[in-house]
Amino acid sequence: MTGVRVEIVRSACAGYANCLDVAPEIFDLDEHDVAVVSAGEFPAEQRQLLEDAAHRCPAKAIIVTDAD
Amino acid sequence: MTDSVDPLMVDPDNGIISREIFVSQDVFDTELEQIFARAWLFIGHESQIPEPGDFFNSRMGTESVLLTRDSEGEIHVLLNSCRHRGMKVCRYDEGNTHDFVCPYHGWSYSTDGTLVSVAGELFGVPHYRAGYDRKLDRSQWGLIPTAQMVNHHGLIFATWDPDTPSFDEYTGGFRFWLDNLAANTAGERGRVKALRGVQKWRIKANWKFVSENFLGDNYHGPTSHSSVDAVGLGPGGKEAPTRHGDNKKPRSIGSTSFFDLGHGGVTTAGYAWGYPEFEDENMTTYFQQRWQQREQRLEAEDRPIGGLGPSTMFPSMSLHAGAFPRALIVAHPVGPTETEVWRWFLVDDDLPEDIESWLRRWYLRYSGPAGLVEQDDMENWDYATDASTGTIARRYPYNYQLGLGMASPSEVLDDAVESSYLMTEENARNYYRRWAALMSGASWAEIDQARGGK
Ligand code: SF4
Ligand code: FES
Ligand SMILES: [Fe+2]
Repeated sequence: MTGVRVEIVRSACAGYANCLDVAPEIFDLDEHDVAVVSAGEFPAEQRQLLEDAAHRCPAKAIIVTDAD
Repeated sequence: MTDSVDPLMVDPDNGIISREIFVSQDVFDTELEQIFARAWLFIGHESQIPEPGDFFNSRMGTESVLLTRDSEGEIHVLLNSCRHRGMKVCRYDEGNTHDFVCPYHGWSYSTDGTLVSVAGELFGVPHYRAGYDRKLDRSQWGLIPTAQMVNHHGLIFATWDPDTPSFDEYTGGFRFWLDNLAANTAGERGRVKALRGVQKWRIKANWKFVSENFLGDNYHGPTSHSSVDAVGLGPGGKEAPTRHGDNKKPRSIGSTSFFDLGHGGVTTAGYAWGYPEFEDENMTTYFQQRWQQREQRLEAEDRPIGGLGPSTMFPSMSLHAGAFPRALIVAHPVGPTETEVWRWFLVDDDLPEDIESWLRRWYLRYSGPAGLVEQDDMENWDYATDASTGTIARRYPYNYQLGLGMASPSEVLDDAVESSYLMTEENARNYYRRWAALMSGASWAEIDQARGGK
């Protein structure tokens, strides 16, 4: 199984912080109140969690893709 | 705004009604409070939101509401106004989404049951951590839902008032008219769909002119619509000189009025307004068969055969419950002398394509802003409103004495009276009786106590 890549569209993120509720160990907010992720790539087991975070982002700022 | 109106403005017993109720801003404001915030109002047809996430931007009184279907398939009606600063959260006529993100500051409301516990709940606000320190209680700031909602065989209704009597009680025997609207030409309820595209337009008339016209005004037809009958606009074309193509039927079709409830209809519960004779014989045969199936089904289900003509459900939804046409119109108040009218056309959900397309074209030629029959009516409503706004005109009331004292209890319905002669203002008198009861500011319990019929 390939890993998962997570990307934040910084211009879209509005600091809803919903992603922090889902995965506080992965998402945080920086000094501009824009989300940051703890790593660029995650193991496949965390795909569900990451997709859930993306689904709960009102700004659709979280993009989850396969790592190549 | 005044809390209630002078009861002397409306005197149904003597058939006298003040023009003030059609032109006064004060009366209009009271109507919003006492009628539109309390009555059951039509929201839309279920076929407009078939899939989870579908929404239709509707209206109750002067306010925008969202008819939505959540991810579990449940239907909701939500006030389309952001809880933050009131922005119209959704500005599209219809579409599909699981969240409505407010265009002003970005508050996000969801109808996805996996994200929120109740549809319309506030699901996210920008800068929730940095700005609100995560302390904003999102469960308290969702879109406002209506107090009651009902799906009557696909017709969706709602009310803001938790105390409003149940939909069944509120509609009474008028439900048979609604059943016909919701049924296909073979009489199966829930087997119609709305033709895509609700027509919306504004007229310079008081909203009650629209309701009253369909409620039972058989009186205006020969005068107002003689030109459309003359050109042969009906399904039968030039040879069948009425707009409904019903020239083979006797004209004495009566009229029904629900005295305590305010609803009313042209024709009676016992009178089946037959299918027309079409120019195209295949269509005549097709509908003849469907009509026979309808008769058998209704008899088996112990439903009255009639209740098909134009009618109005108090306060502002009017309908043609038969198929020729089968349409409904809602008169949304804008101001005392301005109304936004919305028209839906309903057809059997299993019609052969050519027949559906014929009906679509005929409906459009009949009703709606471009419909020839509707244009006759709009002309009357606009000019009547305009000519009633003057200082002198306002001193003189309207006359509603047609058929006064000539109605008798229905043999089919226990909450209605019928007028055997089709031209009467009995329906309007009772409509304004209901109007006055609500406008008095009386509670539903008090209104219920005063019931008993006249
Ligand atoms: S949920 Fe979306 S918008 Fe909100 S902080 Fe996370 S990435 Fe940004
Ligand atoms: S008005 Fe809707 S977020 Fe401010
Ligand atoms: Fe008319």
